[in-house]
Amino acid sequence: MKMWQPLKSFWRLITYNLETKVGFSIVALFVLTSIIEAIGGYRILPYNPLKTFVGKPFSPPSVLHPFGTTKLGRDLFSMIIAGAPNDALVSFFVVGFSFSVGGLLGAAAGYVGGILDELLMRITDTFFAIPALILGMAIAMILGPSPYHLMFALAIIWWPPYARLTRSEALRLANMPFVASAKLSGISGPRIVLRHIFVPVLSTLLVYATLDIGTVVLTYSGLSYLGLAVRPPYPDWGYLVAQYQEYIIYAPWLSLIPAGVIMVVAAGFSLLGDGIRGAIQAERGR
Amino acid sequence: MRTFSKKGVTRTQIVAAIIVVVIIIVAGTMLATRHAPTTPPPTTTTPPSTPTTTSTSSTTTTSRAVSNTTLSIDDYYWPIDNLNELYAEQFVPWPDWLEGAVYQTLVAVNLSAEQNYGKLQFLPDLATGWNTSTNGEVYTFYLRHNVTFSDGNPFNAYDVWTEFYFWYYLTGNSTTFWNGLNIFNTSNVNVGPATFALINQSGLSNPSPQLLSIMGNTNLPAYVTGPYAIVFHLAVPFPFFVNTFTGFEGMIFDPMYVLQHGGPGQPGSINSYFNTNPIPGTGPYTVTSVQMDEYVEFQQNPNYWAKSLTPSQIAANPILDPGHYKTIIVYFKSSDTTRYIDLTTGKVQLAAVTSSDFQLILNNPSYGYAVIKYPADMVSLDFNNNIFPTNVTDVRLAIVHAINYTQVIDQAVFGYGKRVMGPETPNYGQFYDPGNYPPYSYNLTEAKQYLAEAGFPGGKGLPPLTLEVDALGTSWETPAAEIIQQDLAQIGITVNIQVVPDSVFYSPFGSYQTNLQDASQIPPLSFNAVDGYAPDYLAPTDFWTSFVTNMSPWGNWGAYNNPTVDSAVLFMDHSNNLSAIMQKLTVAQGVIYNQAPYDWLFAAQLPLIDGSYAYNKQTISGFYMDPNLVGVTDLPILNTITPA
Amino acid sequence: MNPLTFFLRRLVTALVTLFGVTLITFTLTHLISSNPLVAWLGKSASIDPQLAQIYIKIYHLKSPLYLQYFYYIDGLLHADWGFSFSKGEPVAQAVSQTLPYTIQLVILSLLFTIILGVAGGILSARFHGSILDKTIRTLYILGYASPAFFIALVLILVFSLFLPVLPTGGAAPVGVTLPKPITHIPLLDALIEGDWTAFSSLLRHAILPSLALSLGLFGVVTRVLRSSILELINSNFIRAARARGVSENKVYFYAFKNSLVAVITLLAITVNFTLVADIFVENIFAYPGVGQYVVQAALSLDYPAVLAITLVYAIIIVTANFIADLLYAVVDPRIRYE
Repeated sequence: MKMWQPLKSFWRLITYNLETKVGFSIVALFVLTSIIEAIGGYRILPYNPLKTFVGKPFSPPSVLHPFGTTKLGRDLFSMIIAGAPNDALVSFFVVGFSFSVGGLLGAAAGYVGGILDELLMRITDTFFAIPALILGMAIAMILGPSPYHLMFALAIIWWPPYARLTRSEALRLANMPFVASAKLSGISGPRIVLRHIFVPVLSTLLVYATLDIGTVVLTYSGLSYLGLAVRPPYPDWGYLVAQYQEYIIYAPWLSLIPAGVIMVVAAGFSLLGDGIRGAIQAERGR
Repeated sequence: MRTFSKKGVTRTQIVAAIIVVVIIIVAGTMLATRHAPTTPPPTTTTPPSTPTTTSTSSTTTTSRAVSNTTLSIDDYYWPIDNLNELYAEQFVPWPDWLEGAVYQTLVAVNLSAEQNYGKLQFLPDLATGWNTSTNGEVYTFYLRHNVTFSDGNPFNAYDVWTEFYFWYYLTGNSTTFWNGLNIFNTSNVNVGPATFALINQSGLSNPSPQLLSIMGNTNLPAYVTGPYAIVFHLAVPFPFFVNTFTGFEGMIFDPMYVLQHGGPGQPGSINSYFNTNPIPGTGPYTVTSVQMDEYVEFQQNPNYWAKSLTPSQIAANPILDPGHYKTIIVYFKSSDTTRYIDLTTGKVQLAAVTSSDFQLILNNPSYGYAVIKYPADMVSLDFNNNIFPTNVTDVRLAIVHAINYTQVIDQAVFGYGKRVMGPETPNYGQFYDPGNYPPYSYNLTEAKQYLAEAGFPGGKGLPPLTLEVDALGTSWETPAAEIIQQDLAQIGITVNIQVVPDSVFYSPFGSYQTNLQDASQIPPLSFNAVDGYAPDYLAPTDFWTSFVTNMSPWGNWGAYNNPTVDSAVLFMDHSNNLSAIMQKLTVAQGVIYNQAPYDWLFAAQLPLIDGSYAYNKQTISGFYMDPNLVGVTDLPILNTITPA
Repeated sequence: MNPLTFFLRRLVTALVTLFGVTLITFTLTHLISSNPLVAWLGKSASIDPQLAQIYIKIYHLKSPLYLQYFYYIDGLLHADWGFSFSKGEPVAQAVSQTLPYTIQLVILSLLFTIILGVAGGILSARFHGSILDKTIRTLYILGYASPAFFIALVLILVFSLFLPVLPTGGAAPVGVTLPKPITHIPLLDALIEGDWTAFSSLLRHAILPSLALSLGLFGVVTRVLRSSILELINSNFIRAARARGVSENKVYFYAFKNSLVAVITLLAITVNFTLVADIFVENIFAYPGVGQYVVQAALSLDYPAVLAITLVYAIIIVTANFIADLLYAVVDPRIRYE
């Protein structure tokens, strides 16, 4: 009986209402596609996304090529699927990193207070003042274009909001009686931070994180648009939009479809996050 | 809960109503004040004459009419360093929109002969005549009388003298200040701020005796022998000196204006006043309004010295054309989509349209576009001749025979590329490919053979080669690179394409010495430039020196060097014995052909490589391009644009 | 803690942050390429070696990095922001020419964001669950999820090609004389002077870019406002008002007023996002603001410009956060005792 509990809660969360279901479906599709593609590689795609002239160049969407073909006759559908793992990897890693590292840092700083707290605040302030895009640009320019470099660059600057979130919760909780009693019963500091401060914040963090993954997808697409994610001929959603945006009159599907995909995925996370938040609030009875 | 209150209008509703009313008022005003398009959208009643349009003006006898309408143009690049002509010794502003329309040169290129027939011919412009001494070292120019700059100051030899030494001063007193050529002995030159101050005091219309003696000092490389005669004394018999007056440093402006508005500034920090207040010239137009990074407005100059030229005179020397529009406005719009929309909705009559939307222009017979019949814009795939494996001649030869050039030209530049065998371009007559070697052929068998001979049969043993692409040129460079990547894969060579920012691309490059030093930072394969390499001035020495010698100040990315070639080019720079020059060059060409230091892909026939200046054939009939074949500006010469 | 100490602490924090920003940006831009000469001079860097030497001397290009940084900060404190090579004029001049246009766009887009966001928030809260609510939510989710460059392109297509009512770019057409610089912000100046032609023309050119910015961001405001209103709607205060017979609309209005706090604090984040999206939007619309300038400068390795603009962005963001912090503290007394 107890085993099914978490699964049942999970199910309740994701089926809270229509939007959540839609959001979850989009996210699930995105994640599954990325995983399958990452494992299977180009072989499982209808066409090799790198192969030129598999169809007449600039042909609009058709049965053979559901998303049409590019300037050199590549199949856009295969290219989109091939580009999915990049977005998934980067967004989940960045948010996961921020969530765990940032969250723990903030919880610890809030609990311990003092100089550690001050230092953390100043650091987060500084990173906050630099738009993520510019810093990402700079780091990627130095290290060269690669999704891994961007992942690294974004992770560095993405964690402050999580730290702040957990920190303010920590400040609130640190003076609560149950924490004092935990201290008295001899539980170590780190354990307290983890169990009594971090865990309660998890649900808020989770909602924020879900919404955030969508934001990372957008930022990563922005950086990819600037050419910092991949080198030709490898496909990446943002880069595709940039490559074909000027063809918006001649071959609009070439830029509208990748942009649309980015939009749908980001929207999916948004819907899911909103839904989860609604579900959690409903559970609590406000 | 969801019903509106039935108790009358609530506060919320009032606020909402106000907002709606405000929006309506604002929207209404805007719709009312929008300008109607100046020309109606194109109809398809015009029968397509020729599928491609050359840059000839078909108006040799007609269209002397001056239209009172305004010509609006969308360009894709705001001039580097704005409109400040003092930067000319740095080969900017580029594109120099003011060439021809505002600034003229001593010597004019016959645009019709050059762009219709591929013949290089020099005609009088601000100089009515010139001659050379028998030893080829002394050039005398006789200047035109009764010419004034648009600010009223008279044009004379003293102006040319002053401007000449401006260049010397602004390069920090470099001996190679004149177009990078080492042809002047500058050891006696002592012209600087003190002299300029003197000039400012005395003025150039009637210089003081002290100033006259300075300007007439025959020990200087340039000196005046009268108000309308200037002499250049070279240190070597450089046969192409007259050609050097067609480009950047040859554009004549009013030095008095410069001196009266703060002077030229200093080398390293040029006076920025002229960024938006262009120095006056002698041409048919003046700049009347500048909004930085947005537009430049030109108006016809009522005091232009050649305003009464007859149509046949204009046809004989088209760059002197007084112009066919009272007002011309050039807008900067960085997005190709917006430029295309502006053109097709009639907001502008001429627009730079590239790759993406250029296909639409090609498919639409009511639009014409500029094509350069005799191009000089060289696009090459450059090898690093000093690091492994591209330092192996047979490897290079394998690569040059493995590329499907036709496919590259068709896919990347819509077929508008002329196959060439460099280092020279086809417009210099005999100086192009002396020896008549054919451009490298696409021959996979031969390529594989070379590779095997080099010791890498089937590509085994070769590391992957990086092909560096400049981010600014990705529209044509990426497809070209991808095709090359696939072509080379066929003979077993792996190519990795790397797109880098423009500034990073250029950072290791410089003179031959620099490139040699930086050889480890230079990629094995790269394209020579985003928009090809076009002449900064019209002499054959330009490309020969720049691409394949150790005297190259710029352009020899692969740091290639061969003593036979070096001595041939050196000889060409310092001798006026034409047959001897040609003999040596022929031998040098043979060496280059066999060593393939660069893979000359094509000379670009579209001024924007994969795009061009498109126009509605109902509104414009033609125009000429830059006499330096897009080296100074790729925008058509404004005063030669003729209405339909 | 009294207000003065609070204010001073925040000010010091802000200054330290800015200092940190210059340090980071300086290091990064120099790491990308430590020899910008070729980028600045192009061909003539090697053709005129004497000129190259002069540039090296003036800009200390061969000095160690920390010395260059010192010279830079020294210059900043003396109001010398350096020379911008991509523009050919002092950076301070270039920034003062481009910044007003960006500020124009940001303010106009904030206005649109507030109007759209508040209208959306109120309407979707008032009619929550209805089709209107769902439509608004779809719209803002799509807007929020679209990359800024994409929204800009679509807007151009719709409003300049299909319905040619608005211009495709630029800030003002030729022939429109710009108003005298009073506040230095062209739109405001035109308004102050009553120059109707200039004002309407400037406005026409600013609408699409601002709209592109706000369409992506109004969702944040709408979402927060909606949930905040809905939370309050069941509070005791509101229940009491209903019991007294206050109309439904008025009740929602009360809830809205009390939610304003949340909206105000959002504006700081919105400014952050707007500045980033602004870079893309300005480039597509060729709008002569700082966003277009920074891309030009970054591509030509124009360090002084890139550093100055990053600093300007940081100042704007820090100021916005500062103001938001102050407002928040004014409203929520708990924060003051931190």
